[in-house]
Order: sequence, then C-alpha cells, then structure tokens
Amino acid sequence: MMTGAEASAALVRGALKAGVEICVYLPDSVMSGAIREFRRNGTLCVPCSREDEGVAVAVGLQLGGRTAVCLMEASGIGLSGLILARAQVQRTPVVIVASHTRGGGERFDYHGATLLCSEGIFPGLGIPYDVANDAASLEDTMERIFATARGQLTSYGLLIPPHLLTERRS
Amino acid sequence: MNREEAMNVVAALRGDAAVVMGPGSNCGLVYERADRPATIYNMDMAYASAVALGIALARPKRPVLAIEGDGSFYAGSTVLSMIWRTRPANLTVLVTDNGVWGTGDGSEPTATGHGVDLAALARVAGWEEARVHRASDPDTLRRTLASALKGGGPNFIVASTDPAADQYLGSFVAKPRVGRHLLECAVLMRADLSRDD
Repeated sequence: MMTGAEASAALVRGALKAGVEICVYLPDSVMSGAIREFRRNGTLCVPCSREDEGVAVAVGLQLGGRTAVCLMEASGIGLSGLILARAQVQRTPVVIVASHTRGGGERFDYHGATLLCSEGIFPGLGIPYDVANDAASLEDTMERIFATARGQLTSYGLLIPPHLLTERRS
Repeated sequence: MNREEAMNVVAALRGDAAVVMGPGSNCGLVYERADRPATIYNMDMAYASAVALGIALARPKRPVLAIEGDGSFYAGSTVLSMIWRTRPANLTVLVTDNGVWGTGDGSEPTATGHGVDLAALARVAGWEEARVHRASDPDTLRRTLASALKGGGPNFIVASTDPAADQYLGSFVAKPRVGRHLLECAVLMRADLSRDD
C-alpha cells in the first residue's frame, strides 16, 4: 500500500505529465502533501482567498494558454458553482482535485456539508468527475482527466477520500 | 463623470489590452466603441478581476484590464489580496463606482452607496498607495488609465461615476448590448492571446 506521501507524489507526477504548469490552491489537510510536492517540483503555486476565486483565476490561466489545476477541500466546490457553470458555458476547462467524498472513511461531522458539495455540484452542472479509490492509479488518472478536459473542452473533477493522501487510515 | 464618459476613456485607451468585463451596461458601451477579439464581456458577478488576474499571470507581456462595477467588484473583493500577493505588473483593475446596483430599478444602493471605500479597502489589503488611484473626472481617468496600461502594476483605479447622469441604470431601460456570444468571446480571447507565443 502506498503511503500518503507516495500517493501525493503520484498525483503530482500525473499532473506534471499532463502538462500542469500552475497549481491554484486553498490549503487543505488532505491536499497538503500534493501542494508540497508541486512546490518541490518547481511548479508555480498560487494560493487563493476563496476557492471560487481560485477557479476564476484558473479560467483566466486557461484563456491565456496555461494549464492549471485547482486543489481544495470539496467545500470549495460548493462556493464555485457559478464560476464553474460559466467555465462550462464558454468551454474553458478547469480541473479540480478536491478532498472528501460521499464514500467511506469520512469520520467527522464537520465535513457533512463538504460531502454534500463534493458530489452535488459536479453532476448538477454536467461536469464529469471521478472518485479516486486506488492510490496506485492516481498518476494515470490525472493524465486521463487532463486528456478529457482538453479533448472535450470540459471541466473535470477528481474527488479524493481522505485516507488516500494522508497517513491516517480510517 | 458619468458612465458613458468613463467608457469613452476606456475605448480610447484600451489598445491591444486583454479586457475582462463584469456584468452590466459598461459591456455594451465598450462593445460599441472599442470591441477587440481579446474581450470577455459580462463575466459573472464577482469574477471579472480574478479571471483577469489569471490572464495576466499567463500572459505577462500583454496589458490586461479588468472592468467591474462596484457591486460586482465588492462581491469578489477578496481578490485584492490575491492580486497584491502575485503582483502582475501588467494588470489594471478599473472599478466604476456609482454606489447603486445597475439591475432592478437601478436605485438600490450598493455597499459603496452605504459608505464602503474601495480604494481604502485595497490599502488595507496591503496595496501600496502609489498603485491605488481615484478618478472622478474624465481627464484624471484618462491620465491614470494611460499610465497604468503601460505597466508598473498592478494598478487599482476607482472611477466615481454619477448615477444621476447615467441613462443606462436599471433592468428595463434601453441600453447597448453585446452582440457576441460568450463562447465566441472565449474562443477569440484564447486565439488572440496565443499570438503572443
């Protein structure tokens, strides 16, 4: 079994293979290893004040021809409904990798609203998304997600259960 | 200064700047006077400046101008911190501040109508005083915007406009419209920016 650090590194390897140049993020406990890994690889990492603001910046980066990825807790997907809808309407793809899912391993009540956001917004907007369940496939998954985002000009979500990228095992 | 005078200044000065505009009557005025391929009109409320920030970071050699009304800008004003942290020299944010929402009956006060000072907000978000500007007449706006579009930014300009002299306030008055779908705007923006490669 991969450690959280190894899984975070695999996720970032896949993103870099897919051509990611910039990581827009809001700090999150599950994503912190991936953010560190992007920094270690010299990727420009841009912190935002709110996740929807970060998604809007990613829209601008895409319009400017740069490939970005947004990392956040899934609660931020709830904030980002309008700007994600705009991105879909104007066919400017944004890839979001977010922590927490409606699946197993979610122990904390304070993530209750986060869980509803994680798998509420994407289908409502017709945005495809995957739920990661295997750390070993994260690298390939990231490459495939960016291939679809570019090929279909659609935003795409990847939801990560906490145990996959952290050392805690629920 | 009224809205039309402010947008006339923008139209005269925008050149090849990439422009991202928030929702409202400013869009139709710029579309009629100075439409260019690199223009996103009617970006959804609160996001014009953030999208412009992304473009500015992606294309550091291209001047980038965000134009938002005060209601839209204030709704997304956390971006002031993000802009200042990243400090793209090619980014200018122009807020037209008339203190009322342009929608509905055009008379409902916005936050600035109740006293919020957007230039002061930029200062407390960390911006240097030299990058924060106020303009309440066309000549001052012309000088300030012309200088900002040359670089040395980011620059933040609050242009006060008079709602009593604004014929385009409210949802049910005749106003200039943008004659291009937002999908086409995005395609043209991307294509125009790619010329810089």
